[in-house]
Amino acid sequence: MLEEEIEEQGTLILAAEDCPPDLFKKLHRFSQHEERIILSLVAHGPVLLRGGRGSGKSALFKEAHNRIKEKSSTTFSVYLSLRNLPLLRSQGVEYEEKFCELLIQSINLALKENKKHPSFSATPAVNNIQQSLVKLSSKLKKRIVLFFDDAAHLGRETSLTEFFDIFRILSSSSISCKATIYPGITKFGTRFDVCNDATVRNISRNENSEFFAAFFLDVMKARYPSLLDDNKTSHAFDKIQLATFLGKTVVGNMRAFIFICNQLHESQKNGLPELTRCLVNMASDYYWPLLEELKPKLGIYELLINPSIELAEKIFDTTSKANSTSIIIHRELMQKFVKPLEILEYAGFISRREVSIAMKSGGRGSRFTLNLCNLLEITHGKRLTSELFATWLKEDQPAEIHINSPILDIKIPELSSDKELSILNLPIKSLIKSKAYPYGLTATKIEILQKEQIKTIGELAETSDEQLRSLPTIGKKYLKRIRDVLGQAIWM
Amino acid sequence: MNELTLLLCGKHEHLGELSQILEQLGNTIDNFTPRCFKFISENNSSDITTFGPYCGRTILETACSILISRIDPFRVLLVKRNQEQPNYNPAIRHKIAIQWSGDVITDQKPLPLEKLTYDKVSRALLTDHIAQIYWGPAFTYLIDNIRDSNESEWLNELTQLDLRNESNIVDYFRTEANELYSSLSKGIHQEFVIPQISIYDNETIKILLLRTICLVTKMALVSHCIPTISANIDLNVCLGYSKKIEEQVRL
Repeated sequence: MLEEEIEEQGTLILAAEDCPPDLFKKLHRFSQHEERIILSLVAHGPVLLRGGRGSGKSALFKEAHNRIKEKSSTTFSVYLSLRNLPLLRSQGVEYEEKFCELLIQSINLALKENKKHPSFSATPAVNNIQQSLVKLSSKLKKRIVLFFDDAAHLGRETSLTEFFDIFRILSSSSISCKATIYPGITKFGTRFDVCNDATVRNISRNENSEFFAAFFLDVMKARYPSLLDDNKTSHAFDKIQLATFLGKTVVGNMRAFIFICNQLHESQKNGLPELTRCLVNMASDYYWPLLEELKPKLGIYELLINPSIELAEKIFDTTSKANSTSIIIHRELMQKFVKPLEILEYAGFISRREVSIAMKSGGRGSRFTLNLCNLLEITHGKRLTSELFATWLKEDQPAEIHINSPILDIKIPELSSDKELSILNLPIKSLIKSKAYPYGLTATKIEILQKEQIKTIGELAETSDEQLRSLPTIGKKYLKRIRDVLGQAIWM
Repeated sequence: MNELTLLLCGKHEHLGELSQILEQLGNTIDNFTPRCFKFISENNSSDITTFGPYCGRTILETACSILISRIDPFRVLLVKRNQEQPNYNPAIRHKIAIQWSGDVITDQKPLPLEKLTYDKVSRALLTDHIAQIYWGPAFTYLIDNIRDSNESEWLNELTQLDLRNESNIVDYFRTEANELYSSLSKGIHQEFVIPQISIYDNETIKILLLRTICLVTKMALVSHCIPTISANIDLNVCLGYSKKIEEQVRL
């Protein structure tokens, strides 16, 4: 494939799960920190991989799975994405049964792909599967690694208890379980001890790390080589500075990095005016809409979106006034705003760098670095000057919100103990092409679906591919678009 | 001496008998660390499954002995006296020797200070009382003083540990140390009666060795922030050693 074709494809692929296998290697790059994570995913032992939305968890899982398939003579791996609507809607025994059915299917698919015999059969019960897996391991003379991607859904914590029970039961001396989780996941059920039943690895791309600049430059070289063209790059900064600045702009989040590079890709040049445009657009077209997109997926935490928005505004305002790009929030305030801060961190508004650091105003707090898009949005003039560019590239004195500050006088509503995910009951017109859903559906297609009595997002998700393909003007390509936007809508 | 030895043993030239002990223990680290680094950086090393766990456990145990020597010199000086006895017999077990259970970790539940008598204080390296007095304040000092020089992934991991309070750093050290000790021990004690080559394969041993080096480096780094510990070195020098160690275990 020509470099231009790879670059074109690269702009369209936002998530690892959407990346075709032949392009995966060409587009993905891994830092030293991530190589160590991949090693821990390939090695024996239970691992929980923690990171925000778009941080690269699935990419690391897929890379580990690919390496095992290609190179390992001692390991057999199975990759299972738990983006399954019936599973999401179930709990208790029903959850366990559906989970086991999915797992059995995935194991057989992996055996078939590897041309391995025998096939795997078990009753859809965890203990039975565990025993059958041990027998399979013995037959194959290999240890088995199970990759569970997208297990954790922030708004549905009851199913997390069931998942982690299964995780613990399946893990054994010849079976390793690995799962991706979000930073907000704190409930693991009563039988799973997160300290002893797994090793937690965090995906973190700290802008102070010596690998930070080189890593993002590498990604740009792989996916957007034309952005590094000498004719395009401004004299205001060099390529390393551009890569570092873009990486810092999105607090190291890979999906946001792809988004901003896609925007820059459309410009003729990479100067300060173009960067300004990209940052301001990202604030209005990516970050804020993301919170709205999240709202109906958060279950019991849905009510926290408005306080989270208010919190974000105050954090960014305080930080901007202090001429900084990071902020320390007193640990007692952290307790009060724990969930809104997790939501903001999940969405990429902020990223925690130090859990505990001394504050000038007294006490200790956590330091967060802020995305530069929302920061520029409220900076006077909304313009990225060369001075601001240089200032934001450097380490600075963080702003502080101390325990007695009136700034965070935000009411946190009472939460109910359980709540259905509203997203499934929303009308399908919610998926119309918009800032929240840039690859959303057209009005015409929505009308076609509504005529077929497909009224809600839940109903659309449950409609089979065959039924959708039978509708006028919905071919293979548009079917994929429907599934992609559904994926974005329903899953975290 | 390699950087890990320098970081663990610190500046110990003028500490009398303690210098001799640290020199001896440091030689072990010097001997095993290059082998360990080689196992980590090589692909498909033929010796890793045979010798890797032994290397890892030796480094882990010796590192802990070094830290015990620096925090509680009396403990190791007693061991030295015993080993210097004319009738010392290496063929028998000596209860005074440093033991993993009892000197590094303990099952003893910590009593609250108001109910404590001195004979009930466990002086094991990774206990809650030692955490309150030494590890907690040292960790707090470290994380407050590394921000400007923090290019290290390992230091980032330390600053991002979600601990309820700084003394809980010892829970992190203890959990990791116990897990590594147990996993590495299974690789050398020949307790398996069925083939385990697939479980203790290259990748698994590599990650165990990497975690071991990472853990002892972190513990050594924090130790130099304990004001009363022996053989302290300047924090900036420590950070330099730590950075070099991290560079040497690149995959």
